[in-house]
Amino acid sequence: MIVQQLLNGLISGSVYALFALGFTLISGTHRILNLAHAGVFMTGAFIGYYCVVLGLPLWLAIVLAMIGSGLLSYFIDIVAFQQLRAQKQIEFAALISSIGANLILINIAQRLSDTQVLSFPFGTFPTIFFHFAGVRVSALQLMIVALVAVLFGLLLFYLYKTSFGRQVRAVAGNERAAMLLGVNPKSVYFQTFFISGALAGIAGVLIGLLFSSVYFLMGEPYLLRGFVIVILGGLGSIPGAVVAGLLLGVMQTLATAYLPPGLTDAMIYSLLFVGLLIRPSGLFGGQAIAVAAGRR
Amino acid sequence: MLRVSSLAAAYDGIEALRDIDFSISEGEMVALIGPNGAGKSTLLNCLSGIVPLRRGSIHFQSEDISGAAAYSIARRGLLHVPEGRQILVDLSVEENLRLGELARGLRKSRFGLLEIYSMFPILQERRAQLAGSLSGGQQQMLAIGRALMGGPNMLLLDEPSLGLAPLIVDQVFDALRRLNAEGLTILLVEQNAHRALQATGRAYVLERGRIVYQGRSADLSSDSRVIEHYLGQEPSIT
Repeated sequence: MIVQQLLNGLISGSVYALFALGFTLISGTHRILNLAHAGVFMTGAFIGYYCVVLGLPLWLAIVLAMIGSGLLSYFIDIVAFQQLRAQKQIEFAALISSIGANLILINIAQRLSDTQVLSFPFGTFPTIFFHFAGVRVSALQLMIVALVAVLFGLLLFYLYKTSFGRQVRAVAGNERAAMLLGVNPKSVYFQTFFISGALAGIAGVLIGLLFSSVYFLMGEPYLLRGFVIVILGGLGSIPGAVVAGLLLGVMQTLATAYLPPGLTDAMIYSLLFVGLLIRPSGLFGGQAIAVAAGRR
Repeated sequence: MLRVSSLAAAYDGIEALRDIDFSISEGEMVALIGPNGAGKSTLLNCLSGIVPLRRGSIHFQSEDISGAAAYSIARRGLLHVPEGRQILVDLSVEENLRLGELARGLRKSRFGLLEIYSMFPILQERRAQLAGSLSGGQQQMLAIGRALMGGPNMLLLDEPSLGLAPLIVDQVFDALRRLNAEGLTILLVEQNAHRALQATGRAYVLERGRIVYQGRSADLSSDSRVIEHYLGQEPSIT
């Protein structure tokens, strides 16, 4: 029983981590808490849904959802953040303008879907269950866990082993110095926002499949969780987001299973509270703090 | 190699540079000196595309680069080592150097990692460390090495001696003189005017946004007006 609960916790933790990867990428590289990430995530789920309904195979639907969400995310950067970047302190202004962008996306989706909860047609993803050692897990759940691992690895490889990643980190550290070395900041913003959006898009489709529901507010619960994850993991830390996401999933599942109902959220925020008491900069936040100090 | 005509620029709304005309030929090492706030750094920032021009034009290798984006100017081989070094503290030493390679593009260059490491052996020793953990002098070497990785046709240096111990300043100036002897064109901005005039062949004196003197460095350093106005306050530093 406890093993099954732990497994369920890891799976829902992977779901959170999947959502949080793109969110933390932007907060780490551009110091923007992009609340429109939830809207992009939801849009990805809708694109995937309509592609499947129109008869496209699931893999193609996922690819199109990633491209669509990636472009949307870059579009949000252009309309909501680019103008603010000329100013020095953009954190707060960008937060507000990302709330605006999120509301616009939610309203459009609400109109288009007539406030309906849509579900993927039965059998879009083969419903296969595996049983071993008394636990039960679906193929889709396994795929989500595997996908988080793969995307995590790819994202770290991109950021730390490629020239593109070096340019991204250079712009994150000191945009002016980066330009003097021949880095084009526009291309960096395009890459990070596109990747963040594409990650949100694939998360949207898979989470829509997992819970068999696609609706205009589906991003909102993840936004709040995403906040907790990004702060607990350390602002902008990719490993931090994955670890904090898994931790959150496990805690939440255990709390739901063994504590009186209604205490789940209290557990989650206590976790955040205690975590920040012990490590004010988050689990993996040391480096991010050093970066901020170096900038001053 | 570099020709600036009737350049003017504003910084924070105040006209910081007016009627700037000068040119630098290939292989020269030229100093730009002047008191604090004269506009020396602003002028370098104009050349590298960080500060927009209000009037005038800049030609680099007979191409008009006025108004070009900073990254594209760097990729043409006009590389700027900014004031305060501006190394990327959260990247490793080697990553800083590799990043510098970006500006080179398809141009040929005699500077690779090996050449930089043999010029500044301490960087090789520290290559895996975060650049933020280097001392000021090492950071200056890294900043210069990083610009060299970009295969520069011309190097702009802003106050390379700032905040460094005299012994380290010697090392940095030795490296610059050697680079110039090997044919690299250099424009050097310095507070430390004695030092700058010793190292260069020609110099411009900038005051309140205008070029007020120009000539051979040797002549300037013996010109009584220049000594009185611009060199008087700092003989103790050299």
